[in-house]
Amino acid sequence: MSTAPLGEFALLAALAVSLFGIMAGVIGVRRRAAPLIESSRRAIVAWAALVGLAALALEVALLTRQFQITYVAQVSSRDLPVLYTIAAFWGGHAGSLLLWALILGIYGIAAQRSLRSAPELAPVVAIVLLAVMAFFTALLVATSDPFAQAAVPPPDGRGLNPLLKNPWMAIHPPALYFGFVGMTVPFALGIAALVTRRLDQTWTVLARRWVLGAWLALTLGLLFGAKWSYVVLGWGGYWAWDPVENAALMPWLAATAFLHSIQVQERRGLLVSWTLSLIFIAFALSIFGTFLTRSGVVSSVHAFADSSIGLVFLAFLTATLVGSFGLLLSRSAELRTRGRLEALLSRESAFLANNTALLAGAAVVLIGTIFPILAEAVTGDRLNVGPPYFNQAMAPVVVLLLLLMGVGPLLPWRGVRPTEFGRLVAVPAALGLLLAAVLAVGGVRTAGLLLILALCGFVAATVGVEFLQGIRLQRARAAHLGAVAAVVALVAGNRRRYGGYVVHLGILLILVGVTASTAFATQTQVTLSPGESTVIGSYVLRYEGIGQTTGPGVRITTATLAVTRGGRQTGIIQPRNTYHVVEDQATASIGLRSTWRDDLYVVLAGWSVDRRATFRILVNPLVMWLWTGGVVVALGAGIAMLPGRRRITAAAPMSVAGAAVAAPVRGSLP
Amino acid sequence: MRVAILLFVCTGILGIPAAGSPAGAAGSPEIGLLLLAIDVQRDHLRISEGMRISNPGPPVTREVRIALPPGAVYATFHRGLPSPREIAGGVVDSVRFQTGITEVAYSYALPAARELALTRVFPFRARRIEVVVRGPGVAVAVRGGRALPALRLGDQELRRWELRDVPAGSPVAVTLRGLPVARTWIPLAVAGALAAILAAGLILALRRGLASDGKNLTD
Repeated sequence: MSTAPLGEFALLAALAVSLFGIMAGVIGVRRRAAPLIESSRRAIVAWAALVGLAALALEVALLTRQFQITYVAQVSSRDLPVLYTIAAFWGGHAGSLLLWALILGIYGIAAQRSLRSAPELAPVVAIVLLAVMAFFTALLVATSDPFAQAAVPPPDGRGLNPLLKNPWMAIHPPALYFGFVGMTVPFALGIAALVTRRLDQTWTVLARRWVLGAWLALTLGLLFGAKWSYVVLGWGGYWAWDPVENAALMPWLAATAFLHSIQVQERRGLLVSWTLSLIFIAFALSIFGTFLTRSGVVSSVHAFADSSIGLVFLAFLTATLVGSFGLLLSRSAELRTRGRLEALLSRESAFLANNTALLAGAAVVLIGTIFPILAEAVTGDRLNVGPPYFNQAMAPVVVLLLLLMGVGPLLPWRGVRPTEFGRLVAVPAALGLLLAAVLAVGGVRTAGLLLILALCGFVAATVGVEFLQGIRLQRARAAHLGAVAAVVALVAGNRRRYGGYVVHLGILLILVGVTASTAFATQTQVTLSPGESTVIGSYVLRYEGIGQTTGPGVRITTATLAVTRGGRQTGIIQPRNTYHVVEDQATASIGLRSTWRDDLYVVLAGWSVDRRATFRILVNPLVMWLWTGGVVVALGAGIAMLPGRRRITAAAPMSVAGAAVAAPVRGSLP
Repeated sequence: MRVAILLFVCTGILGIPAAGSPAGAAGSPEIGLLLLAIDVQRDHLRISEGMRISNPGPPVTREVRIALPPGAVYATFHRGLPSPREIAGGVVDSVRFQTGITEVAYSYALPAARELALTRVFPFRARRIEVVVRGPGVAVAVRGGRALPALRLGDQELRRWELRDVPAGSPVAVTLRGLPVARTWIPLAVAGALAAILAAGLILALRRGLASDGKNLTD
């Protein structure tokens, strides 16, 4: 039995419910009618349930191979394994939008719970959420119906794109979407704060946790995507400044800026308009990211012109920006803060500089991403800017951000005298310089590289100093505490602050991994006969042979190489080439051996009937640091998200001595 | 797939002989038995055609043209046509008929509304054609066909008709009435009813003047 009618009904009903909820909410707020406001709130729950029903109908259709549903026939086939059949849900355009809606429904219900502490904001938040819900259900009903049916179903589906048949790709899109969609609730909170003129800390406290969750999901989504690119595409890298990657990086940068800026608002009451602007930008960039990946504009501006969804997205994006910033301007009088930045050498100045750098980074990425599209629209020729543009433009941004990551946590709020500042940064800076000297002696001669690695050392030292000071303080309070117990007590005592430091350490690991694997990678391409060997770096690879096997819908060619390092056998490595029969497409499965030191990365590039095989072999240093950094970031963000005691102090210590003693209450990282 | 199974089951049950009966005109291939299996599905039919072609003479290569009904999609060639080429109105293939039996089988799908008149022509004279229809509640008429006792496969009934000595190119007409079609309006109607109820509730709430009945929010 087809589940398409059920899914179609659920989406149509969801559209009706969201429109009803908006009207009930608007009338309820204007007339102060509690029952209508309650109806609006319940409409969110009903909408989520209906979208959940539609999602269930689509998943059942996929699992029961209902190929009369065009979407099911497009993204799945009879021989598709169950895991990828489930993941095929978001393997195409309409399913991705339904996933967007499903996650929005989950967030909508969660928002109901978190808004209990802000009843005055809740009605407007509900209206904004319902407006976004109505937009996405209208898209699903009008332009991207996942339940559209063919008059005659094909005997089998076309199958999932072979490149997507990978566990990392099964979790990458949902993670990214949890990030994109997660910006909706803080956006709604910002709008609600402006509409109700309640610009106190109620909305910021709620928004910070929501943005942190979305930021974590985006971070993980970006890393999952990078890992997929690394192990599936077989080009040896993990980040290519692809528009789809950039689409997720832009809101990530804006959200990072928000997470820092909001602290200035909480602690000093400054940057209120700026913080609101950042959340509006982050949400708009999330919509823009979805637009980029869903409108077809990435492949060609003509595809965008041909798709109705592109224009609809653009209209929604414009309405979002005009509406939110118009509202912000209309409240400019109330948003004017009396405070001001008192010193250049202060925590708030560092955060402002950090915000500027992050937004500059987002602008660099935005320009590089849309330039080819604009060029094609104007000249008719597509002019790709490519990685060199991004690498050159982003390098100064990264350097500045690293510097601020090192300096910022050491600076007290309101300001510090230059001499005292010098004393604060002396130890971390010395350690950073020492690292640079060691690297220079070790043979690293590139100035830019030395600068970045030295700054990484500087930031690591800063975090270390902060932790050591905190531990010392903990042990001064309770001498019986061991080192580990002191760390636990320290982190538990100020989760935001130390969770933030852990995030910084994770980011450092990622940066070190990226820097080393970019600067020091080596590669070669060789053709070998069975029994022949090749050398790359400290590895010796001996080609043992090649064989073919078949599986459901695939023909797999596997080469086997024995790996030796330092005269010691370290195992075998088996790069594969998988030919997908239904899709008539081949994909590479790399042979990979990962250690903390480096990755041995082997691609089976070709083979002949006489069993000779061609391999592309790379040695990428410190790539594991990158993935470990992702885990550390997730750990830190998780710590920072845990509910804890709120510390909002009126003033921060001015003196260095005070700053050192009061370190645990001096402020917090996101 | 379902059609192929149906074809296989029918072939087994009907006991189609492995070798054809003696051929008609010497040296000219002809169809000993042609099985036309129609599987009625919502909005479409799955049709399988299998034929046993006997060639009493020496091996001969012939261009075999299979006409497909207008609108036929997803044509799949299971047996006997090694490399079919698409032409206007069907496919053509060069088939080597060895002395004895050659089997040809293919299937396709056909969009259908409530009623469909299916006309089929075949490239050779057919000594016997059997039409098998699976589709409960569907009225079937086979022009010139003699009804045979229905077959039961579990809870399913396969209705059968037989035609004999059909010349090459002579049409075989099957009319099907009361075919099932998807009721695509139902989801829209149910959702529309829900929308109407919500709108009515909203209007009613406004008319009752909730703002003045003591249920107001306090500021």
